[in-house]
Amino acid sequence: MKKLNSKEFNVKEFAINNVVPIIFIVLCIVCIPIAGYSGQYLVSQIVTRIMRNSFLVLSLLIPIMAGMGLNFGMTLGAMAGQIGIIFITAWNVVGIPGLLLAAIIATPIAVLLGWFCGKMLNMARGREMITSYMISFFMNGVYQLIVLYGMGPVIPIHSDQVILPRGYGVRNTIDLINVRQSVDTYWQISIGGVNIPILTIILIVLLCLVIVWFRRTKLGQDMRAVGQDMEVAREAGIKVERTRILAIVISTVFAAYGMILYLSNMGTLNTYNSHSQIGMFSIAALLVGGASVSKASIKNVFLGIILFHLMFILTPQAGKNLMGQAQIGEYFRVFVSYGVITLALVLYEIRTRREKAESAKQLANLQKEGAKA
Amino acid sequence: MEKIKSMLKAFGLPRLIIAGFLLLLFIVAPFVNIRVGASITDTLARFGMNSIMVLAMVPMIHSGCGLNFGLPLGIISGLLGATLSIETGVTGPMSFILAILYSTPFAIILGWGYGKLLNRVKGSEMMIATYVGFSSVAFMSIMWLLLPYDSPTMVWGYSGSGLRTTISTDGFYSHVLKDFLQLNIGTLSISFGEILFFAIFAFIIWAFLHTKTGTAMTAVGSNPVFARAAGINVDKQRTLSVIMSTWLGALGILCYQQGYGFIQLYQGPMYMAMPAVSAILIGGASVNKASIANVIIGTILYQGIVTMTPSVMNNLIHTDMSEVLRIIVSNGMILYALTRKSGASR
Amino acid sequence: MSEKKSIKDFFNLSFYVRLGVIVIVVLLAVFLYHFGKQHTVYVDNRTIEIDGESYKALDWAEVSIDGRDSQEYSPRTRREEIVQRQKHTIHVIYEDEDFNQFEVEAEFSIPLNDTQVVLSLPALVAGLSEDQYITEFIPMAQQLGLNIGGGQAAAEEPVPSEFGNMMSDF
Repeated sequence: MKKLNSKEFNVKEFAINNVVPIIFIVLCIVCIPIAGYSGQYLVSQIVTRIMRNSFLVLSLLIPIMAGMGLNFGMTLGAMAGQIGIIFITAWNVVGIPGLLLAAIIATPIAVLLGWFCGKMLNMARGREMITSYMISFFMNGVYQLIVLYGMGPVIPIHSDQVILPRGYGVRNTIDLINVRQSVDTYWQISIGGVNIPILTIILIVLLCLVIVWFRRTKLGQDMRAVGQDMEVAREAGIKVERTRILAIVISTVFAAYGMILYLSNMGTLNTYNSHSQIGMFSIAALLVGGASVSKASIKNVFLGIILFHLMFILTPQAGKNLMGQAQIGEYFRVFVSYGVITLALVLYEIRTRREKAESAKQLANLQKEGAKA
Repeated sequence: MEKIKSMLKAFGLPRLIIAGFLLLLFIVAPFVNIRVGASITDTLARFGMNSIMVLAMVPMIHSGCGLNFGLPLGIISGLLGATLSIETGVTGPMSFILAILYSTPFAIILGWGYGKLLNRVKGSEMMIATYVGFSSVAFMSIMWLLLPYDSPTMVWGYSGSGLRTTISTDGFYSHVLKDFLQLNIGTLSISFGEILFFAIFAFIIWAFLHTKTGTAMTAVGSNPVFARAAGINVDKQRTLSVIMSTWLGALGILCYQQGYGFIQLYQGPMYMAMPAVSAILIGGASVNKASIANVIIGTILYQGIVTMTPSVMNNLIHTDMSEVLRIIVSNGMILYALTRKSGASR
Repeated sequence: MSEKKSIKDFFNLSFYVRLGVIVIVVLLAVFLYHFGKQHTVYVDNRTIEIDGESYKALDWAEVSIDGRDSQEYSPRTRREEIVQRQKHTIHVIYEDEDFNQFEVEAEFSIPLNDTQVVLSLPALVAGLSEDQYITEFIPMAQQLGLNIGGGQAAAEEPVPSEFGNMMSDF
């Protein structure tokens, strides 16, 4: 009889714990017939988007492991990657060598920005997420100061393609013909009409392996300890502040590389928009995949990208077919993106509170029994 | 001397820098052909437009709910009131009063729901507030397209349904407060209407905070454990503060619209919380302490910088870096406040 | 007994390893720059004046760079070739006014930092040195300081905002 109970309990608990992905699955199932896209189109779009975004979303896992919540500061890593791309485009370095060079340029910038972000987060203990959120806005201002006014005169870049006609400042959109699809077309196979870029897959798999391996290293274990309980970790001799900063730095560097891959796949750089969008949507995707503020795994990353992007593709067309205005579908997808983050954050808080109350109650019961005995 | 030093230290280095910067701008202005009178007029005009939204921050800070990043909810209540008022077709100053009346029920209902939500997530209010604000603006964007408005001044001409993105308040309540009691001295023009409006509500809030309920609210914010022990219903006080904040937000956007002359729908309200948050922080508030003085000083400083930097900079170095500087200053200020050690953090 | 860290302890093995890695990465970056940089060579068959001497455009020429398919050049023709890296060969078959055919083969090296260069055929076949027949190409609009498409450019100028456009696809 106990077995029956536990099985029933499992389904209900499973549903509650995974509300967000379930809502999304239902949403997608409903929208697919309404939108009317062909299966092949959807599959190839999803494959492209997985290739494009996995690296970026994977970079979010490490700060969660270290107990620092959702790293809105990944925008800073994206900025570093973009600066790298701006340079190699101005210098006209092409193909994979160009991307490697962009990565090399982006790395020190990402390390610096990540270090700054980590230091700020350490000063705002308990408010990490809103702080990293404000850091991304603040840094956006600094980024624009450098890129919109500094590039050209102060930082020497002389390329028509990159610099605005007025002589200083980088253009709004840059066509990345030099590195467009370089990684993807390097080694491609076609399955049923869908192009599969092998090199990109290898890179993504490599990153997943690195993350798995990292959890077992001493630094990884330290981070998990810090994530569980900062004071206990400190007493165990772990340098808590330094570990937290390292977590953010690593995440920012991976985000920079992810941004370079993303831009190479897109083929166009939106100098002033890409990074803020990427931050928000990567976090939304991760949450859709079932991750929470304190727990996220590689499964969440891929499930999240698939579901989130499916919704992203389907809703404008579904809105058009359903309501006659594609605009509604677009607003709907913005609403869903923000809404899912809100929902995930609220559920996490409520659940954490409930668990704390549960364990406190259990502790009180134990004490009561101990006193009786 | 020691007292001055400790006062300056409490004031904080960033605020000193900002105040000093503004002073510098005012000093440089005449040398680059900017009429100080016109600048002061602009600054005061902006003060009038924005002050109430900054005031909306005060109740929630007092009750310990943190900075109200969810101000867009209050703004939406105000937008609903404004659009309903125009829909009913009443023109002139009466439309302003109607707009306030129509917004109030929305503000109360939305504020109540928002407050209940924040009570369940004590400790992470600010993050959730931000996203509640965004989600509701996005949701309303869908609604503005679907709701059955049909006033010709508001809907798209071609299709006849769905509200336009910007709606002019001309003929309704445009400048209703601004023109009221306006004083002109040369290039200097002060609108006492707006200032009076702000003063009334500032006084109401100040008085409220000194009533029994008000002090209970403050107690909840500074020491929730003590407050509960003293028999105060913590959750009820917090919800009340959220409703007040939301209602002031509605009032604030109406005040802003009468000064600006336009109603901005759809994605317009998305980021309107930031300037208000930043302004009150610049004025000396922290995440859990705020006073009316903070509101006044903060709004003047913030709007002063927003007004003066473009014109002075443009005339000085012929480049308009003002927007980027404003982004850095205002977000930097919020960042600074978040990284301070505050009494009741977490 | 607490360990005192002296300056000497700073330069331990870990430090040198890190320094070595940084040096390798910097060298790699320089290598990638050389290897991956793409140049555009504008092969020019125009009458050109260098150091006071005028070199007439060839009546007809067939040019092949790095063994690629040859291209024909009549006077006043300019074609672009996109190449990677710096060292290249050029093979020219040309005719002079007496319809005599000449063949010239040369090696040239593009200056590293020039993304676009002009290679003058008349100068090349006249036996001039490399730095005389290869010059950096500066777009005329830039030279004259023109603001081409002024109105359009103003529309393109980015307006700073901290928020970005959340509506577009990504």
